[in-house]
Amino acid sequence: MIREHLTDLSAGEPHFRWRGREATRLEGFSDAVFGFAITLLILLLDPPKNSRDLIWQMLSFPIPFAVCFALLASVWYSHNAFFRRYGLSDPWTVFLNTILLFFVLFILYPLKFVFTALVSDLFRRWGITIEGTTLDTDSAHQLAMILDDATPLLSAFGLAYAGVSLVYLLLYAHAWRLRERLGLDAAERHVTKGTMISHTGDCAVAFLSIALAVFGHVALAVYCYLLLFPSRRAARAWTRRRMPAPAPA
Amino acid sequence: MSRVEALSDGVFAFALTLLIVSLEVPKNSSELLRVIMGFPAFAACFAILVHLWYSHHRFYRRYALSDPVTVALNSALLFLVLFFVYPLKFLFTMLVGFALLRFGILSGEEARDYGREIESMIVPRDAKPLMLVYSAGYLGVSLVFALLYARAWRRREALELDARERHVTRAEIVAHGADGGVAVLSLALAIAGHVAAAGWCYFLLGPIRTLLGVLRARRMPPPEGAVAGGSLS
Repeated sequence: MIREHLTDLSAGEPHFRWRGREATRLEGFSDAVFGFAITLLILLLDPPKNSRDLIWQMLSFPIPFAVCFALLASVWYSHNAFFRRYGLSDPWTVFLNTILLFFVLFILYPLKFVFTALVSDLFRRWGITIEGTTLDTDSAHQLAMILDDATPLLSAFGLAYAGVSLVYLLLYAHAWRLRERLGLDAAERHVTKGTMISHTGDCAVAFLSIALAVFGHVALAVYCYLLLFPSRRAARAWTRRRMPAPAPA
Repeated sequence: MSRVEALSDGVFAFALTLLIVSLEVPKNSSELLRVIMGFPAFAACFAILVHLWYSHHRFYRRYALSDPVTVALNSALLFLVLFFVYPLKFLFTMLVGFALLRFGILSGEEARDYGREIESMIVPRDAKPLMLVYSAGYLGVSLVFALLYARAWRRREALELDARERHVTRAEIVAHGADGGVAVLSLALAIAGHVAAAGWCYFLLGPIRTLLGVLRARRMPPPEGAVAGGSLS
């Protein structure tokens, strides 16, 4: 019983043997980029000069920050899963990883703008104001401008997110091509397919959001990302339901 | 080292750097003096972040967990750390500023300028909501650590923890729970309107931690070998 749990702990997933035992330099490098990307979210704020600024930041910032943080954390989690599962570091993987990091850094600025604008818009609608803060002055004006012209921002964000999903799709397709050489068993091949379906769903959601933004449905284009939850859930459910029975030992 | 640790180290390192990035490079001697006066605040924030990093480091060295729940808790911790970088810097700049003025370290025009700057940092009616947010943040950090150790405790069989390791794990849950208790006390004081007391109550952390440390050392089970020998004699 204890042994079983131990292999479970060191080898990660119930249906997947981890071939990448140790993190490679490629992953160390990527982690530095992910870490810096997450920290950049804070750097987009100005250090507060007085308590009014600080209170405004504390009210308006946590929600957009949490959403952006969760999104980056989820991209990182997929990254870790891919490298743990297949332990690949051939030139094509390195190349795709570089493209991925590019999109991760690229996603930041529109991401932060979109969510800050969204929260400020909600605050304005609900009548939450804090006198004497930056909200009353230039930043309200700036936000109004962002909201009036959100299409390019949302499209940029959508493209970057579609790019991230597409790169994961290509990475998994690469692992799929190497399935014989990696010695993937039936369950592992099935999980590989299931993950590809999940990333295809992400990609489709991003393109749907771009389409909505281009046709002027700005709010719908933002809330469309909520579709990520049911789409991922469906992919997970499909993977679980169709899981091949373990081969007799 | 797992990738969870690599990512977290990156975030901690950048969080430390953020403390400095938010300073401007001084252009003349009076600006330099101002930067030097900011050093105690920088040191305090630095110490807090390093202390958190060390707790984090110790947890991962001890149990090497990287299951989805641990990763989620770890993300919550990183979120809190990053979110509180600027607010902590703000808090300590203000506290150090008041202390410097109170003890008359500056004099003449310098003191007047600096005093005006520090005074302008806080509007009195903001003190209570800020205190609430700081205490909520500290409660969050303590809870995350308590939950991380609770996670290790739940997997104690799989991790094959021995009697001493189990004792240490339990003691950590209690210690981080006690930290959270102090934060709850501070929240209650702030809600009741005793904002200054809500701040001072963090000085309870010292004696409470010392007491828990002593209890933990006293109740530590003897090493495995010694148990057998002890029960024989």
